[in-house]
Formats: sequence, C-alpha cells, structure tokens
Amino acid sequence: MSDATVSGAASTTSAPPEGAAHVHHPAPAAAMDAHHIQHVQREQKKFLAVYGVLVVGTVLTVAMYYVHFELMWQTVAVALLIAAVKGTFVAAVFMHLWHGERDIYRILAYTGIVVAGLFILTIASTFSVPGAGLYLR
Amino acid sequence: MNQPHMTVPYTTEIREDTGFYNGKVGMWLFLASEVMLFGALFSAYVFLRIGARAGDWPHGLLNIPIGAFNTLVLITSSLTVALSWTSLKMGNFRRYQRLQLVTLACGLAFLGIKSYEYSVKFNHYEVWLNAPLTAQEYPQLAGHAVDADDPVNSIIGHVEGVGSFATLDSLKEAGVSSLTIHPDKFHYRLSAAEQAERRKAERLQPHTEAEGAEHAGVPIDLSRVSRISAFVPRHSTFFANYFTLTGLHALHVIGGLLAFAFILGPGSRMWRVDPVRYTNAVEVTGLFWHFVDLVWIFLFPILYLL
Repeated sequence: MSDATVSGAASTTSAPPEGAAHVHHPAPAAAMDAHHIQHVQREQKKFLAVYGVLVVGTVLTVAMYYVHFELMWQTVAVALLIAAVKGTFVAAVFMHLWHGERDIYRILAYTGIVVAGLFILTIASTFSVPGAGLYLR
Repeated sequence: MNQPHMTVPYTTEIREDTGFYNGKVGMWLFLASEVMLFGALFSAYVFLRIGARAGDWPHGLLNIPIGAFNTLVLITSSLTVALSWTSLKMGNFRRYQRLQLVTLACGLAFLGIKSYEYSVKFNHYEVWLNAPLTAQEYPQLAGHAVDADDPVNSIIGHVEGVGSFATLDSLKEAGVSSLTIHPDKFHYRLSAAEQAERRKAERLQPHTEAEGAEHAGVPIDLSRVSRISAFVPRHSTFFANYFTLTGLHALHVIGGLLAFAFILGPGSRMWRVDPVRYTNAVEVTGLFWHFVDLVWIFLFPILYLL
C-alpha cells in the first residue's frame, strides 16, 4: 500500500488534525476521498476473491484425500501444489506483496536462500539413510 | 506521557532508505525469522517422513473433517482482518470493530477446536504386544485380515480406566494386571490407499475417534503388553512432529489474538490521537496473522493428509 492511501484515512475521520501532520501529499480533501475510497473498495473485492480461492483450495485438498492417486508421490505433489497456490495468494494479496511492497523482496530473498538451503541439505541427507525414500515410490 | 514530548520516529511517515514506515520493516524482519523457524521444523518433518519405513508412519489418526473446518475458520479470520484494515482506511471504525470481533471469535474457535482434538488424542491408546496378533485375533483387534508379510503386533483404541499419560511402568506400579481395550476399526499399518479402499468398500465415514467406543471391550493380560502409550508426543515420531508443529502454531494464534485484543480494546485510544498510526498497527499485526494462516495452510495437508 502506498503511504498516500493510508494517509488518506486521516482526512476521512473526525480525528483531530494531529494525524494530518503526517500527510505527505496533501490533496484537495473531497477529490482525494472519492478516489481513495474507490481504491480501497477495489482492494476489498480482491480480498473477497482470494477468500473464495482459499475456500475452493481447502475443499479440493480434502476431496483429494478421498479420491487418491495411484502413487504416493502424486498425492504429495498435488497436495503441496494446492497449498503453494493458496499460500501464494495469501502472501500476494492479504500481505500486499503483489502490489507496492516489492522492497520487502530484498528481506525475503535472503530468507528464501536460507530456507531453500535447509530443505536441500535435509532432503539430500536422506540419501545416506538406508532404505529412505521408499515412501515416495 | 508526562515526559517531554518524545516521538517514535517513522510510525507513519516513510523512511527514505527502506521505503516503509518502521513498523512494517520490523514486522517483515520478524516474519523472515519466523519463516526460518518454521522452515527448520518443516524440513525436519520432511526428513523424518521420507526416512520412515513403509508402514511406520500413521495414517488416518487425525480427524480430517475437523481439521478442514478449522482451516476454513482460520481463512475466514484472515479475511476479516484484511477487511477490518480497509475499514479503518475508509475511516469506518465501527465496521473495523465488528470485523475484529469476528476475528477474535474465529481465533478462539480455532483454539477451542484444536484443544478438543488434543484431548481426544490424549485419550486414545496404542497397545504394543510382545508377539504379533494371531490369525483369530486380527479381525477383532486390528480390523484387517492377516498379512503374513506385515505382522501387526499392536492394537489401537480406547483403554478403560487409564489416564492420559499412563505407561507400562505406571500401570505395573498401580498393580494393574489386565487391560480392557475397545479397538478401532482401522489400524494405521494399513496404508492411506488401503484405508481409503476399505472405507469405500464398507461405505464408512473416515476414521473418527468415537468409533473405537462402539466396539466391545477386549481383555488383554498386561503380561502380553510390551509398551503402551496414548497419542501423545512420546507415542511416535509422527505425534512428536504433530504436537511440536501444531503446538507452536497454536502459540502464534494466541499471540496474535492477544495483540488484536489489545489494539481493539485499550489500544484503541490511539485511533482518536493518530489514526494513521493506528491503521498501521492493525496492518502490521494483520501481516503476522496472515503469516500464521499461511503456516496452517501448509500444516493441514502435511499432517492430516500425507
């Protein structure tokens, strides 16, 4: 979210003008409000759409358990794929990563490298466990 | 507040070098550390799961409909958090309050359902025997036909008159000589696919813990028993993982609820003084809440379905 829209909240409330001290881009109040509210309402629609995706994803995940694929790894892959899609929507929309928050990627990039390393090392180490990996066959 | 006026910098205004107000950067750094914390536990889970011998990893011991319902509860709370934040951005404090009350209700419902699940697990037992079950005992005690390649030497179900954390030693000390077991229909030594086939064939609902109680009690002499454990962390690697991951997650839910309750209650004075800062507090706490939701989205299929 851009600071302009957050600051807009100050002008729509009955709050004392202290809040207004932080407004960076003072705009004509009326014009700002209409635009701002429209923007926020569009955002709400996006939240509702993501909620729909999450509910459908949950239903699919559970349904999958009753259907069952031939091989275990297929079940694992599909379950994790659905979870990844759901997770991506939460991070992108609810946590605003898709729009406006791209500088956060710098923090997340380092985190991602560490976590990916954790998983790669862990999974690689299973090759030295006798009989490991049978589960996925 | 009687001190000379001191302001926390960058609570609302954007800091040039980071591009955000400080609270948001702080929360994201914290979430990055959280990703690594849960990432470590998840990778430990993956290691243990892949390394488990076939048949050793329990299937069907968790209640999927309840877990799925809890997933929906948490997803709904994430939506109300997001909408409460947009309400504040439009200056509608009333709507924010109503939505956050729903969030708190959802969070408490999640914890309530989770503790119900825990308590059911604590009262469900596995009893390991010194020798594999005999052919005659199989249908009644393990719920499936004899398979010579995969001898089953344990029974799962309810045990009469035994507390949640009894062990073989504690039973011996208490002078118990025989157990009465109400076995479950399914044994986790059946693979998930086998269980699913069986359910389809018998047109049964997925395993619920109540089923065990429907069966008649079977007496087992304590001298035949080699180990006994309820579904507590010591039961198996699976339950150790389950309680570690869900327990840590539940602590996060509690933390998030406390933060939201504070902001909604005593902290709400800030809305009148500095509404932008207040809105930011809700946004940042919301980020944490969405992260907790995100973790659950992965925990549910991993623990309940795989």
